[in-house]
Parts: sequence; structure tokens; C-alpha cells
Amino acid sequence: MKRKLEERFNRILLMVPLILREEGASIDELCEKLEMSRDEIITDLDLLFLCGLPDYGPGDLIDVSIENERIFLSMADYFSKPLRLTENEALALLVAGEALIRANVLKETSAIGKAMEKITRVLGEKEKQDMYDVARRVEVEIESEPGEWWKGVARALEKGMNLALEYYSFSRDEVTQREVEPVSFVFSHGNWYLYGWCHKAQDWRLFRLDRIRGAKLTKRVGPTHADEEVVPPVVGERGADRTFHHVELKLSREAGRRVIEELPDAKSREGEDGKIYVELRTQNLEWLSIYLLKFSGEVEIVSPRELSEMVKKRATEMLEMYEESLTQN
Amino acid sequence: MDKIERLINLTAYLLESARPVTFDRLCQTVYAEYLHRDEPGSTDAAKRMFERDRDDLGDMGIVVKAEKDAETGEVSYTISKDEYYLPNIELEPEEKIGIAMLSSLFRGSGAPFERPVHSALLKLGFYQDDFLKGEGIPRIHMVGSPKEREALNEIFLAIAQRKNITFSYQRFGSNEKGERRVSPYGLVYRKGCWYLVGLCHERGEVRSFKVERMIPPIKAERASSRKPDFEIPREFDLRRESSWEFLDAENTESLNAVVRFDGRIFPPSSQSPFPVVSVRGEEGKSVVTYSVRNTDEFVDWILGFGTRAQILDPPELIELVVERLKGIVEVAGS
Repeated sequence: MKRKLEERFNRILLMVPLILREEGASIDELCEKLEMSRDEIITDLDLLFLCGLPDYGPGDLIDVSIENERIFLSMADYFSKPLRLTENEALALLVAGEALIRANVLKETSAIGKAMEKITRVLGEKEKQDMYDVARRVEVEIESEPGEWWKGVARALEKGMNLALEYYSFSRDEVTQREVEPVSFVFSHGNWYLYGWCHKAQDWRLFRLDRIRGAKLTKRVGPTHADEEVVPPVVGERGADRTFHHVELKLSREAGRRVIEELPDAKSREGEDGKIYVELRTQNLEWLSIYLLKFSGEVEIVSPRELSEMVKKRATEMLEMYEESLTQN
Repeated sequence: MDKIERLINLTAYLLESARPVTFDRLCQTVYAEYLHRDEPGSTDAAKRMFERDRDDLGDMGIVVKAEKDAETGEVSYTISKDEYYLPNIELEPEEKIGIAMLSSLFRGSGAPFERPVHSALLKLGFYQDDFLKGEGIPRIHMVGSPKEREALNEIFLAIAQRKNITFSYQRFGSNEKGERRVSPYGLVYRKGCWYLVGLCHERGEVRSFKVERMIPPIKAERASSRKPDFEIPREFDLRRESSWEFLDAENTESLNAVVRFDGRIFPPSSQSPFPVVSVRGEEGKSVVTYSVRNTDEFVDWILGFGTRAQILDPPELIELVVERLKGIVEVAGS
């Protein structure tokens, strides 16, 4: 079956049991739960309205009604319980579960293992084997050294407490103290982060777990920020000060392509001279100055001047470091 | 009638009916509107349609069983309630939290199993008060690349069903696009990027493709056939195939590179993109030896540490770094 059709069919077979209870189901809740829009739900209900049992008379068809933003279904008792997991669902659970188990960063790791065991127990032996065979060929590497403070951060999240963090900022090469209201763990580009409201910056911040040098639980005073924002908009070393800098770069074709690939929010155009012109906004020139080092002679910083000086300074310092060691030897 | 409507009706009927249903009876009900009595071959066409529907339901785990009457020899069909309905799988509170986290982790990330994980958890939670909404589930997210979701879904499916796929691919560092035909063996997510690993028919060898550079549509060949297109060689090992430092790098001889890090920033070996050969401490600093194939990538990576990492050996790598740094000083802001 075509994948989209299969997804929709499976979704309908799940939607019916969720609605089919005396109190019905609220449309909003259903939208959220099934990650569907209102229109999509109504379209599916219109379809269900035409379905039922032979001889497909009014008394045989599924009855759908909507009252006060709640949906009610009847005459569909045969769909009162959900369909068992499809192969795709079981496989997805297995692959995701294995990834999280291998990552071995959560205290729930062993519980996930046990749950997986129970879930796959209902599968047939052959089915199970096939599935493990596919799961072995899909690998999500989310393991990274989370550092020793992971547990403390997890406890603060669990108890709704704040953290007094001692944090090493890589781009500034300094250790700072700050109070943070933790909101979530985030995995991005090979690293685990703590995401939270930083009282020092009065803004949302990401903290790489392996750069936390100390974490103490403290009582939360005042209002919580946890409900405001859950998923961080940008992950990376950017986001260090509140002003945005407008940056313009001129790069060789090769380097230009790399920058575009690695910084997806950058704008680019090809000049008549064959060079790639890139414009981007960053909150962290320090970070960008390190990043640009790898493009060596292939990047010209058009603006701001501050950035080109930073890059030059950094490169000069490094050159001195190497030259010093060469003369020593 | 829509196909989906027909599938719902067929499932409902076979699930609800106390006794198995004959094909004749199906012709009078679910398939009635497809039959034109006066047209020869019309019943055969309906039969073929039914068999296709049966296969489609089978793909979703809904097994339509055929039973043959011992006396009349007539075949009739049924869906077993026991096999259709999800049994109640009792999970401990901690187990519920654990698997609810799976959904939270991958939601919105574009991972190919994001949606099926979510629907699986809704199903599992059906008997146990919807544990996805429960208190005490730590918030945990993976930041992925949602725009690759569609491509990844196709690839994931092709891997599971062992179907050959074709797509056009943009090579790294060039404008060229080329058509590729690949037997997809496996999929790897590493450092923010997805890679497809499979047999490239153009080159006749196992290669990796960065999903980001695969240009949709990704088409499965002979998608309607259920038979797998290929077997995976017994010796195929995803870990080994994807273990070289940068999946795009060409295979060349490796060399040992020695780097001195400021104690504070030495990256743990599990996070290093290059295999670590040895580590030793020296006056509060760490001296690490890496095995390096792609020297350019290595120099890039080390430059990113600024003055907090210094290559000590071999001389040709130091030369490469110095050359690069001189280039920067000359060009930047000129």
C-alpha cells in the first residue's frame, strides 16, 4: 500500500477507539494528540460517516455527531480497541529505543529495555527476528560524554528546582557562575545540552552538559518560565550576547558551499566574479571567528570590521604559538 | 468508493462477522459496486482487487485468513479479533515514563520513525490512561532536520522492505549532480546528519550518501511488488562501513597526529570525530594521539580550538596549519 494511504488508514483505525467512548472526545484534544489539523480530522470523520457494515443502510453505517466541540461516534464497536502495532510502528519503537538505550544517559535506560521486551513479546518469532535485523541497520548515534553533572541536572528537572551552575564557556574561554531554571534536555549535532532560563542573561540558553563544571540544586523563587518555551529555536555555539551582528562574507565557490551547508540560515548569492557572497546574522562573533578559521585564505570578511580583526588576532596568536614551538625545537 | 473507504468496510465486515465470509458474499457487499454482471471477467477483476486489498491489509498487520470448507470446498475469509486488537501490555510506571520519553525525544526532529513512534505510544497508552500526557516525563528533545523528513521516510521504508531506490545526488564540493541507483542497506545518524549506506549500482560498491545532498524525489523501484529487490551480504556490518572518520572522505592511508590540549577542553574520545590512539597527561594538559586519514578535515577541526589545541606532530600537519593561518592573516579583511 502507498505509504500515505497506509498512514491515514492506520490513523483512522486509531482515531475511532479514542473517540468511541461515552463522553466522546474534544476536537482540540484530538488534534493535539494525533498531531492533526481540525480540517484533517473533519475530512476523516466525513469518510467514516460513509462506512459501516452490509447492507450499508442508515442503521448499519457509523454514526458521527459533533456537539459543543466534542465528537461522538456510535455503531462502530468493532473498532472499539486499537489495531495492534503495525510493523512500521514496532520497528520505529525498536530503533528509537535501541538508540536511547545505547546512549545510556538516562536513568530510565533499563526501564526502556524492559518495556521494549514486553512490547516485542507479543510479536511472532519470525516477525521479531526480521525487525531486529532491520533495527541493526539503522543507527542513531546519540551517545556522547554527558559529563558528571547529568544526574544533578536530571534531579533538578524532576523536582522543579533551579540550578546554580558553574559553566565553562568555550567561545569565551572562561568559567562563569549563573542561576538557571532547567527546562529540558536537548540532543543536537552529537552533543547533549541543558536548555533553560538563565537568570544572568535574562534569556533562554543552552548549556553543553560536558562543559558544566558544577551544579547545585537551589530553590526556585518567583515565577517559573518553564511553560513559555520548550524547544530551543537554535542550537549551537551561537547565542552568547543579545545583539545581532550582520555579517557579510565573500568566499570561494567551494568554501561558500560549505558555509551554506553548515549554516542553513545564511543567505547566499553568486557574484559575477564567481565568488559566493554570504550574509548571515549571529549573536556570537567569537564563535564565528573560530568557525571561519577553517576556511583559511578562501574567505574574505566584508563586514563587520570587528570580526575580521578578531579572526586576524586569533590566527596571529596561533601562528605565534606554532612559531614559538618551532624555534624551541 | 475511495480505496480507503473500501478497506475500512472490508475490515469492519470481516472483523464483525461471527462466521467467515465467502467471496460471493463479499461481491454482494463490499465489492458490489465494482461488479458489472453482464461484463465478462468482471468477477475476476473484483477478485484481483480483493486479493490486492488483502495484501495491503497484510502490510499493516491485519491478516485476512482464508478457510476452506471441508465439505463444499468453498473458501471463506475472516479477520481474527485476537489477532487484530492490540492486547493490553502492562507496563510499570517507570517503563511508561521511559517509552514516553522516546516520543518526546524524536518529536519534530524529522527522524523517520518520529510519527510511527508517536502513534505506537498512543496505541499502547490506550488501555492505561494515555501515559503520554503523564506528569513526571522529563522533557527531552533531539534537534534534527525536519526538512529531510519525507526523504528519510522513503529511505527507512526502502531499507525495511529491501527495495532499490533511485535519486539524484549532489557530490560534495562540486556542482555536478548525478543519478544514483542504490540498494539501501542501512541508515546512520551522526553529528546532526543522516547518511544512507548501500550498494551503489553505478560504482558497484558499498558507499555512503549524505541524505542532505540527495535530491527528492526518492523513488523506490517496483514499489508495488512485495518481493525484496536484493539480499544484504552476510558480511555487511553497518558499524564497520560507517566507522571511518568522515563518511564522505575517500579512503587513504592514515597517519598518527599528536595534539596538546589545554586540560579543560580536551574532548572526550567518544565525541572525537577521529579515532583516539592514546591519551597522556602533561603538566595539566592532555596530549592526545589520533589516527587521521583526511588531514584537511583534521586541521579544520583542530583550528576550531584556537590556541587551546596545538598539533605537535607530524611536521607536515604543522606545516599545513601554519600555511592555513598565514592565509587567514593575509586575506581576512584585506
